[in-house]
Amino acid sequence: MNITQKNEQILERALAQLPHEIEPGHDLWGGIATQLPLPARSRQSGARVAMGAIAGCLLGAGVLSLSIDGRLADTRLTSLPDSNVLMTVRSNQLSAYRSRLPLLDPDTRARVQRDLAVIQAAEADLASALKSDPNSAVVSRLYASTVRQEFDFYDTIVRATEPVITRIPI
Amino acid sequence: MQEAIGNAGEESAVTRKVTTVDPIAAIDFAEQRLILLARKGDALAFEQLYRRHVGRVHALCLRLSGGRHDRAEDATQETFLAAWRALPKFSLQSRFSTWLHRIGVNVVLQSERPRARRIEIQEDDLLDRPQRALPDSLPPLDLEAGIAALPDGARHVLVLVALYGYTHEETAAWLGIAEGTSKAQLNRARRLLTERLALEFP
Repeated sequence: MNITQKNEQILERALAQLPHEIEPGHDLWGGIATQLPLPARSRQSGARVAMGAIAGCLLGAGVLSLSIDGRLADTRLTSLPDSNVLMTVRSNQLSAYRSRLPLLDPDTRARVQRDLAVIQAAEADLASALKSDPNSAVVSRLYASTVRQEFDFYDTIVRATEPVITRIPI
Repeated sequence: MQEAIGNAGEESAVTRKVTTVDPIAAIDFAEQRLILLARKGDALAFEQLYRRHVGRVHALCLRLSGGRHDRAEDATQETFLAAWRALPKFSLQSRFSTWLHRIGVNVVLQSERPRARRIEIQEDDLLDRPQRALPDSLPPLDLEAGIAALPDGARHVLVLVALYGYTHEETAAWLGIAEGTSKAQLNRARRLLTERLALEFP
């Protein structure tokens, strides 16, 4: 190895060791926050508030997914605020849920699907009630709660089937 | 953590740790949630994004701007303000950190005005000298100083490609140069940096 090659190696190694993060000398957030043009909040109808609450709950839980066959969620999520963005997240979570479902043993999988069907039936009933009475705060809350239950359910399945480290001989 | 695997009669047992790559785990749902909230005007969510990324953005701005802390802090601040304004255009399929870096590069490039001459590595002084060997380890502060003293074009490419691992294609697009120019600038930067450091550590 000649000097040039050795120098290059040393340089590459030294560059790789430099930190990728360097905090500024002081907190810059104060200066940023004062310049953020915050959007004005518009008044929203009861039904829209409910949708917003659902989105907030789901996002708060870090969970957005949909039913096994996707039918319920397709109609529901398209009416949520900023639905394009939510659909993207939903798509990610759906992939996760679908990929994990086959990992369950047949009995557990059947039980999961049965429990899910109960939640989805309740959700469909409440969605129908909300359509008839979009300003009902009680129905809105029940609907939001049920949707959240459904998504928590998916999240539980995904988390319960996290892959583990495996070792194989070579 | 490793574990020996093999039967007693085998001549040797080779162990290897295999981690299942989980593409789902790679999705940062917490960050996506913060982005969605910030897009709706939630400044607290945006502050959390700021806290997560400020170190990486500031490091990039500092190095691109030749180690000038005041300029780097201004650029960092402007990067986050520009990001806030552009959040509605951000695609969740992209990496947020890369997107911020791209904005940071734009901000630094736009802020580079004709300025007082600073001490840069002079190519003519260095390239005609016989090559010297670098010491096996280079002190990080001296390396940072060497990077800071590189000519702008060479420094920008070195920082983006050699430090942050962006491709020449990405780097060229961000800097508004040809891909071949990016490669040439990287070679130039490496050569100048090596020569400078070799002179400092005879």
